[in-house]
Amino acid sequence: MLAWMFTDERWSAARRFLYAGALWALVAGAYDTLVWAQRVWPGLLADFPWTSHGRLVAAARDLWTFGFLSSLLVGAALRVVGQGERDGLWSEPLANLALWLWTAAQLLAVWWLGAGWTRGRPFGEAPWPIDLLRLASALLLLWVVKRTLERGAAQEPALGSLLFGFAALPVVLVLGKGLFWPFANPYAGVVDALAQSFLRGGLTWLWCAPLGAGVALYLVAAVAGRPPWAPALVGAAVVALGALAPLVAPAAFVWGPVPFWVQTVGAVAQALLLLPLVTVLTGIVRPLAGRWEAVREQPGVAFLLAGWLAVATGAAALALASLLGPSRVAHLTLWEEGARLLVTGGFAAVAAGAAYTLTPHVLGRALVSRALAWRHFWVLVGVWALSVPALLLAGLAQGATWATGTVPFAHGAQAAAPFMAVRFAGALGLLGAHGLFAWNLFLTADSGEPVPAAERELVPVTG
Amino acid sequence: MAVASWVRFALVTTVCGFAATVLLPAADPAVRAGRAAHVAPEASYGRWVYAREGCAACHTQQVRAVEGRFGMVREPQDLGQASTPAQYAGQNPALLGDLRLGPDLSHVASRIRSADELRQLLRSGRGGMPPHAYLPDRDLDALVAYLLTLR
Repeated sequence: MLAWMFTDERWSAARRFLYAGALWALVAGAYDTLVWAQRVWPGLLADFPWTSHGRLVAAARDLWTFGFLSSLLVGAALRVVGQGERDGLWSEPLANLALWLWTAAQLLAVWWLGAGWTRGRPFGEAPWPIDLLRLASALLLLWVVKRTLERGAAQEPALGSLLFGFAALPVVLVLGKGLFWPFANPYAGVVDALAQSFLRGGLTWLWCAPLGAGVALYLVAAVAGRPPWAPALVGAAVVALGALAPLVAPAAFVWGPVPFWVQTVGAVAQALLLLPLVTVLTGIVRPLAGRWEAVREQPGVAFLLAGWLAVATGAAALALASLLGPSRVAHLTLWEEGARLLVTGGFAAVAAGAAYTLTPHVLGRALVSRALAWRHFWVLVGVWALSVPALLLAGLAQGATWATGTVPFAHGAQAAAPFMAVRFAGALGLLGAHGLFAWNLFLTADSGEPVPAAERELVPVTG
Repeated sequence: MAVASWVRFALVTTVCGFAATVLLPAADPAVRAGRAAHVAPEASYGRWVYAREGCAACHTQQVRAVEGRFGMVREPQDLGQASTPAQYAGQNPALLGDLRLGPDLSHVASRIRSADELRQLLRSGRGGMPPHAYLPDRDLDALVAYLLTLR
């Protein structure tokens, strides 16, 4: 049993992280669907503490970030960093240990958050044993990735971005959740609110974004068979991401109860964050210039492109909501939910795209059905096309109602109800899309056409 | 510059950014002016129930400067005064929230003064709020006691 768990088989950790990500995608999708169903039918399953709305929201956030997105992105990143002259990961058994710790933390999170054991901090709900398990796993992954990259001359910005992501996660967990004093929350008052916002922003912009950027930049260049575009500029974009992401935290409190100078820093940083994101997007698009057939042939590449486009668009919508004028009607409303759906959905698309692209390189088998992958893609695009405008409009309706100061709150809530029904339909669509993804991945693992050994390598990006 | 060097540089900027936007505000006079209010044990437990049940997922506790004395929940201007950094002193965890699917609760006790009405509202739900009939009486009473402190 232990030999199987901590095997040194090449790419075993990457493969298992991808499998885990596909399974967590289903669970996260189911939780998300239940959350939105309860927003449409408030009485649904409300008699049971485990399925009460507040607990479901906490579990869904945790599952979406740590279970689904993180597992897939880590799996893809581990495959990419071990490529070429680095000859696999420095230690597969340690990477597998990280996988089991991560998975144990996720199982505990679903159980304990459902049971009501929580830190009570929005976006930092998971209790301290889960945090410590995740921190241990993150440090192991950082160690494995760092030692692996030391095996070769890793000068590509994509690999630097991945290393930064793995290094930033422990920092985000320790500072955002106060793990330097793990048994109780060391923050209080407005500082705690800002730390919560830092944690939320950090998990998005310091963890998912560098990993998503690294795998997308590397894989698109590898598929196109071209050197990466402007490595120095993309490297500078990753540094800018690291500098700006923590400054974004106060943007959640524009016009709110934090000192005005902090609000200003947050709003400016939220706008400036677009620069590194657009630079990364450009770095993904440019190697494909003149080789757009790669997008048609590889659905994974279409996911990577669409995912980053969604991330940049969502970040722009968040930046708009942080400006003093628009924030009057957009802040605290469903507008921000719509923007965040684009950001997290964008990273979900990047994660799925990386998994599709890496299938032959991790599983050693060709993807069973490209048609299913395309269906997944179009369902995802359809969900964005319906749900995001619905949430943005609902947010504006809410904000406009509040701004009049003459309409009862309940009327604004009623105005938003039809839009939330559309978002519920979108959640169902996402769950279906996750089902297509998991089905395709596991079918490939079971009965995909084996790929010759020579084709299992990713073409190293040079230049 | 080698990859490891700029990754280190990026990490240093991250930590500095955290210090500037999370820790430094603690030294701001507007934040330091606050003193943690004494809360009765039952209300304190009720605050924990509020956090545990994820009430902050739908309810904010921050009246923004643009809506203070102006905003409306049931009647004109009943949203209450704008929140200040000082009033959150000592609150652990802070429950400002960032999505307002239900009304802001900063001054809920000035709109609903009856414990029975609150208890009934929590048990049965209203509008978009789900019922919380699963809560034991002790938790429900504590939650009501906490909400009644929000004036």
